[in-house]
Amino acid sequence: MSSPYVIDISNVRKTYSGGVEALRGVSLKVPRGEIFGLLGPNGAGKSTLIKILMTIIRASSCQGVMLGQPVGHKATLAKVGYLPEHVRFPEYLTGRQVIHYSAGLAGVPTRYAKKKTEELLEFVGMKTWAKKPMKTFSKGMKQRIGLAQALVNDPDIVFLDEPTDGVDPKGRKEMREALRELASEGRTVFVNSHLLGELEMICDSAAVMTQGEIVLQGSLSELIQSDGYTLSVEGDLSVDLQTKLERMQVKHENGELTVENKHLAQQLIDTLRASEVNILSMYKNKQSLEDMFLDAVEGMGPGAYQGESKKENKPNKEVVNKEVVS
Amino acid sequence: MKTLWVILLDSYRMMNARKLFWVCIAMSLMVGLGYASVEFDETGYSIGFGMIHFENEFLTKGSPMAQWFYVMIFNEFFVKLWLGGGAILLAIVATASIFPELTKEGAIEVTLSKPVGRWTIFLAKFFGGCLFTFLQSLLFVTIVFIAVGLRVEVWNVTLFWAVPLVTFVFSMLFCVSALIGVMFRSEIFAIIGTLMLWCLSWSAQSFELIAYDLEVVKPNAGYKLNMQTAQLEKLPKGTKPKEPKLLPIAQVLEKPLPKTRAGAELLKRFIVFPDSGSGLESIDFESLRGGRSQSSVLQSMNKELNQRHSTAYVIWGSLAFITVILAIAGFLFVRKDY
Ligand SMILES: Nc1ncnc2c1ncn2[C@@H]1O[C@H](COP(=O)(O)OP(=O)(O)OP(=O)(O)O)[C@@H](O)[C@H]1O
Ligand SMILES: [Mg+2]
Repeated sequence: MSSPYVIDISNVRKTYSGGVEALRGVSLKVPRGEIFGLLGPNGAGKSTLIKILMTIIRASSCQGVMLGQPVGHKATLAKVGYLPEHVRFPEYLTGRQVIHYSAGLAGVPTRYAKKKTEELLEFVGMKTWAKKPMKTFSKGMKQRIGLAQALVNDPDIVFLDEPTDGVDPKGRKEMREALRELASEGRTVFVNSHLLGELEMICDSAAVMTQGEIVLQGSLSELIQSDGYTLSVEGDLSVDLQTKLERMQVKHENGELTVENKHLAQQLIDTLRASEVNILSMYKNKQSLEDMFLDAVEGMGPGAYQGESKKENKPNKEVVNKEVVS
Repeated sequence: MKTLWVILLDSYRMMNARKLFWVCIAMSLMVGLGYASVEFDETGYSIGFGMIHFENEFLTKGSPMAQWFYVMIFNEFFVKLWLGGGAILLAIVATASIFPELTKEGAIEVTLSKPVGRWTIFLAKFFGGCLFTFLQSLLFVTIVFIAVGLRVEVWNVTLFWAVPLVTFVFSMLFCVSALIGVMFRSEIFAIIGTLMLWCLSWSAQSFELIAYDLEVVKPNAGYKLNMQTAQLEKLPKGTKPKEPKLLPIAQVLEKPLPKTRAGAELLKRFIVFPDSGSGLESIDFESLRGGRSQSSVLQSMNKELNQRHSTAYVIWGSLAFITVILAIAGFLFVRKDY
């Protein structure tokens, strides 16, 4: 319990039997009690990483710990919840039975599991459907049961692989609230998702993975911060000044001037002050999670790493070096 | 313990949903009741709880002949066809989905992400299949036990040997079903593969039996089978038995395979009925149909043939097979990336 990280792994590698290098030395730290988002294009290796932590597949190499125990330690999983991607619960089970099954295998005492199941059915809005078999459920309904079964053992950390897949907007909102509630109880939520807008609303921290490598990770506020600054000025700028600014690579739009970094910002201020332009405000830019993501994965297609040739196409991104983990 | 219960319950629910659980139980029940429905009275016997009546001066209530007859149809039909065949076939079909369902994509992930070792999961599922067969045959044997007790007043507890024996023979085949299920995640493959192995082992055992008969038993007794006429011929006195030629090949084939046939035949060794006093004990269905009793030479030859393998050989040989196949299947299951 001493470590502030519930997951602290390094150099995780996975080469599938077909030779696909799905993970190529992943290192990741996930702080306790946060909502953590793992983003990445299709085939980046997100699900592979979760499956390794869940002991569903075996890493080719893996160092580090989850909840203080080495990855692969079975007993630790009693304190972990998991909703797999494309989950297909046995069709013959009812919603309630799915949750009971999960509780039973997780070693939750029977009486407590019964009580908890009813609470969770209520929580995911499936109470009235609990007696119906899974095969009669829509995708989103299955996903709701899936969330409930992942929480039945009061996990310290819960892994959700594309949890809002097939869930309607209201359900998504409820799920976001649910995740926030979990985090407020001190549990860690680990979410894989493509839905950046959604993650942006709830994540405390995030990492971006492409082609089996983490290219970026940090707290959300740090990630969506950019180095740029925006200044707003009073009145119109003279044509002379405008050409000058253009040469300085300053973007000019509706009386707002944007520069890419703080050095340029200083120069800009000097230039404006020299021309006696009034600066009304100045603030540090933010980018959306989407911009950050697209920036980070620029030039990369879907799928796992395919060898050097592809990597060379990858523009040399500064963003890779922007490791902001504390 | 709780884990085992959860996994068994899940297997039961799966089989229940496929109706197979209850179909199998119902079939066992029906066959058992079919046997129990044979009744004897003062004028003969009836089947179907008195529905169809046959007049017979010997097979009457309380006669030694009736006792012999009732036991004989059990041994000849219900042991050979049901316990050694139908019941096991049914159980194979019913349980073939256990491993494919377990390893189904999208479902296995949840199971494997629990704090339960993979060997535990695997063995619990295997145990579940065996337990099913155990219960199915227990039901059947209980009915037969009561039927024999009521009809001919023999309360034969050795009948219950059939329960572990049938389960044992089933487990020889179910381990193969598990292996194929884990490898291919397909119920159909599991059924077909298991039946193929069953046929193979049956053929190998039959081949070995015939070879042993022709090359060891008959020459030792001073006989040989004339292949053209299919008649037994006495060998000239002092003929030395020839070195067996087919038998070594047959034994090589038979040894590694599970002893499904011999295992079922153990039923005859374990289930012993008291002498009915009818003097007909040596008569089985074959000789009854042929209308003649077997000569004592034939009887002793048959006895030698049937006892060529010790009980220990059958049991240990099959256990070795089960262990090896289960170890491979379990290893694959434990090592596999899902
Ligand atoms: N069982 C497998 N055998 C071989 N290759 C696999 C297997 N599972 C995944 N892969 C490969 O590993 C890579 C990573 O897959 P993974 O499922 O982890 O991606 P992901 O990031 O979760 O993608 P998505 O966003 O589409 O879910 C992919 O290139 C995929 O082709
Ligand atoms: Mg995925």
